[in-house]
Amino acid sequence: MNVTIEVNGQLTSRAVPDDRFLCDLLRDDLGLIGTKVGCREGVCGSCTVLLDERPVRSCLLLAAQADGRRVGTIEGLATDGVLHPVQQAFVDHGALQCGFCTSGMVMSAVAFLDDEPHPDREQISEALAGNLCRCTGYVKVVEAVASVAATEQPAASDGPGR
Amino acid sequence: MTAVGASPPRLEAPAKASGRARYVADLVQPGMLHGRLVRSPYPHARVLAVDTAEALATPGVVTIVSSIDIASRLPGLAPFDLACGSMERDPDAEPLPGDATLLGSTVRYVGDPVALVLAESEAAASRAAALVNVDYEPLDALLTPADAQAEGAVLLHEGAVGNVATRKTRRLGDPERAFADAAVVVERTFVTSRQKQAQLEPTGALAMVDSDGRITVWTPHQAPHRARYTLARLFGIPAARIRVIVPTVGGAFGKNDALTAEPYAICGALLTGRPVRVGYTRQEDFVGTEARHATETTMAMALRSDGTIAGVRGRSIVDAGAYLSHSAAITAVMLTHMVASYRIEHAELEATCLFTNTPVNGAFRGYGGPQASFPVEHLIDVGCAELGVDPLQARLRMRLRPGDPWGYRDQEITGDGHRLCLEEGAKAFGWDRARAPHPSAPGKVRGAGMASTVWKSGIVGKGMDHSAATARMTPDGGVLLLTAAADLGTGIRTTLAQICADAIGLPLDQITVVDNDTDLTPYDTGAFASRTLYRAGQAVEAAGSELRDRVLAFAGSSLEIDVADLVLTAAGVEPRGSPDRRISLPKLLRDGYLAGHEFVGHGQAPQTTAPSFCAVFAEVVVDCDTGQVSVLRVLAAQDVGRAINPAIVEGQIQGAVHQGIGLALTEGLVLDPETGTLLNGTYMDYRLLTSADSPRIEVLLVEEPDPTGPSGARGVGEPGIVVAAPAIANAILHATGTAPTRLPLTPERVLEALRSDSSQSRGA
Repeated sequence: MNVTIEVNGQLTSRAVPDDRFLCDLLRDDLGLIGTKVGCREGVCGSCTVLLDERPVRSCLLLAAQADGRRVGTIEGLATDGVLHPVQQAFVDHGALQCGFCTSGMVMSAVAFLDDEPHPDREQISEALAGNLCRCTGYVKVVEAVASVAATEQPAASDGPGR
Repeated sequence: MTAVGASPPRLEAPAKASGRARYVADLVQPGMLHGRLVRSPYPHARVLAVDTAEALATPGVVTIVSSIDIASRLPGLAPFDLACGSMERDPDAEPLPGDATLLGSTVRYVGDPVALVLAESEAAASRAAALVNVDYEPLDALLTPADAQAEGAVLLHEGAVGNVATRKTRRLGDPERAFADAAVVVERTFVTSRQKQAQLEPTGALAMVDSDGRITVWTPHQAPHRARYTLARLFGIPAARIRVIVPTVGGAFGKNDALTAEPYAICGALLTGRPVRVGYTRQEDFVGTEARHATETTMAMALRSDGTIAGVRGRSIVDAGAYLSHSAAITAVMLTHMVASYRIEHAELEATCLFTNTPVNGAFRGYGGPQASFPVEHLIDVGCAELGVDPLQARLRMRLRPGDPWGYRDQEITGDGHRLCLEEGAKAFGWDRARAPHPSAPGKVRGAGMASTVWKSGIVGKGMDHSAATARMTPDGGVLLLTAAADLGTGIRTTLAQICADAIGLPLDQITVVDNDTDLTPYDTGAFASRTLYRAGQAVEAAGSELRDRVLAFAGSSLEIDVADLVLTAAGVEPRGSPDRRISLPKLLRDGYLAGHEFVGHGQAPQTTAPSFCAVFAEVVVDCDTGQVSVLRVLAAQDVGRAINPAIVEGQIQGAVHQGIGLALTEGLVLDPETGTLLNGTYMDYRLLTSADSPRIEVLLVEEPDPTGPSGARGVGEPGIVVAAPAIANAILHATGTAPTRLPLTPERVLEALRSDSSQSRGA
């Protein structure tokens, strides 16, 4: 079937098999390899992209389901080579190690901060619970997201961090 | 300004944050085929026939190779060591029992590969793989170490008598007397789980045969040089005709210190003449790559009245799984580590590692350490509870002091880091307050526990550990640093660049690191065993110094000034105090290159190791009605010698501790006891901690320099995972008076321990 999707602001039309997943359309057809596929089961969150500004698992979503809608990927975040504040915070806070979960983690964080610009650490931890990371223990990830939010709590007063 | 001690972001961080980093699944070669493995549904069987007719008829399928025809289609394949120990082994030695065979005619675990399908697309390869019909003759299966030891058990590998992969013993002093004189003796049986690395990047490799017959393989391997030698031996081709390139690595944690998809990708490329990428599904990653060894240790500990260890007796059973891989080395580390963290003079230890018809166990961060520290650290607390002694004070009394002999090497303990981690960690954590009785909500109890370890930097065995590095100055004054210390996400590339910058005297941005290509880099044993910073760092420091000396020597001769009076900076070389006589690097180097000079420094790491010290403190709440354990907070105090890049070091420690918390509470592969089939081989079923159920992990860095480490640094990556689980078990013990001794410490097991404890108390 034919799908027309606005990917990172650009309209793209493609003929795709009915069973083509969005992550494969992005990676294999459009060369947007920043979206990572960690499990193909909708659990790890590495493939998270934005569909009409909402985070979705692109490994569970058929390309057909994105027809006529807007898709945002990690490649679309930077403007004129300047990283999005969330991306920059991940760089500055050492919130990425191997980097495989980072694209999905950043996309989830961007969508979350859109909804909740002043979260506390607990809200951040809850919001990112759908994105697995095996390297960082999430400590610096939460710190990075908190630094973008204007309401960063001083370290001493935020309790056990749960 | 010096680079060492600062925390610049990882060199590759912007690329990773913007999705530009390329992992093996992102690599494509023109004409590339996709490989998919057909895996055995039986734990032990002979492959009688493989019918590929239906599969071959699938559109897009190019060819299928299987156990039946691989020997005729690729003659000369040799058995191989999954753990890539081929460099360390005698080149003329016969294969060891338990070495693997590529698509062998006997399958030994559910998931052992039988056939490789090569197709134009991943989808076609998957479809066809499901249509390959294999005729098996099922054999008796040994699903547990007990089965493997049973009388009359089948032999899994010729030459492995009694299915024993390895057996180690260790005796120190006079354990009989130590136990006779003890104030208290405590004994428990401890079970540790098959923890899976579960790195986010699924396993994969891409191989290509050049027109001249050379093979290039892209793989996230932790030890590209060792992989190259092992692949050379497996395929019977000279090592120089194999080039291993490590793309961006999506986490490894020991899993990639063994061969995984590489042999299949190469096999496919040799058969078809086309590039082949073999990517494992997540389920294949769980079953078809190595996990942490499951162990069962019955340990008795004799304690003196002050809570110090008088003696230890232990007997361990280690499950190797189907093939040998790292089992011998891990079993040895486990036994050594049982007596390496404190002054322990009397011990009698034995460990037997057995082959079973289960997925292969191998390297995982900590490499036998967690399996050793769980019994030792928990028994200290059980004994101290009986004695009424503070377990922190007991550990302080028996800590390893500077100049003490050390279990790992005939080398002394350097620095007072063990004391500092215990004392400073306890202070920062608020140990005394956390150990005081707390008012709790009804049905909930709170407790605090800790554990400590003295770990090693690098491989224990002498002569098995090698790092070399080359630093070359380009004519424009930049530096190319060549090392094979692969960056698995650890930040080692940035760290080594910092060491190199300071050794030469240049700013960090002048250093470019190439660390991923066996054609370009000098030999390195690899990135594992908390060795990369310590060992490769030594080599890099030496290479940088030699390069600086060469540049200064040339400048001295061309300026006719004594070298001792010259300084090298980013601006150039100048006599000390005379910037007016400075010669810029590009000018100096151009003159040098045109005169036939090369500006290269080589460095090699000496055969040393360094102890690293770590203490982990944890506070938990246990729900006595449900058995649920909530970890409120964790603090890790670690002596890293010198934090080259403190932010990277903190991240490494947080990650290690976090994986240790997972080992403590949720993680472990579960096999069907009847069929040997993996039951939880998905992220849905294998429970990793998410951000919502992870405690904040505080890190306290102690910096007691080691005299041999680069800038004084000690190994960083592993100690946290070695002692996080016992720290949590000890906190549960403190909270409730009892704790399960089987990992993970699930709510069911905690409840069971609580119930049996209260029934015992009632009976007493």
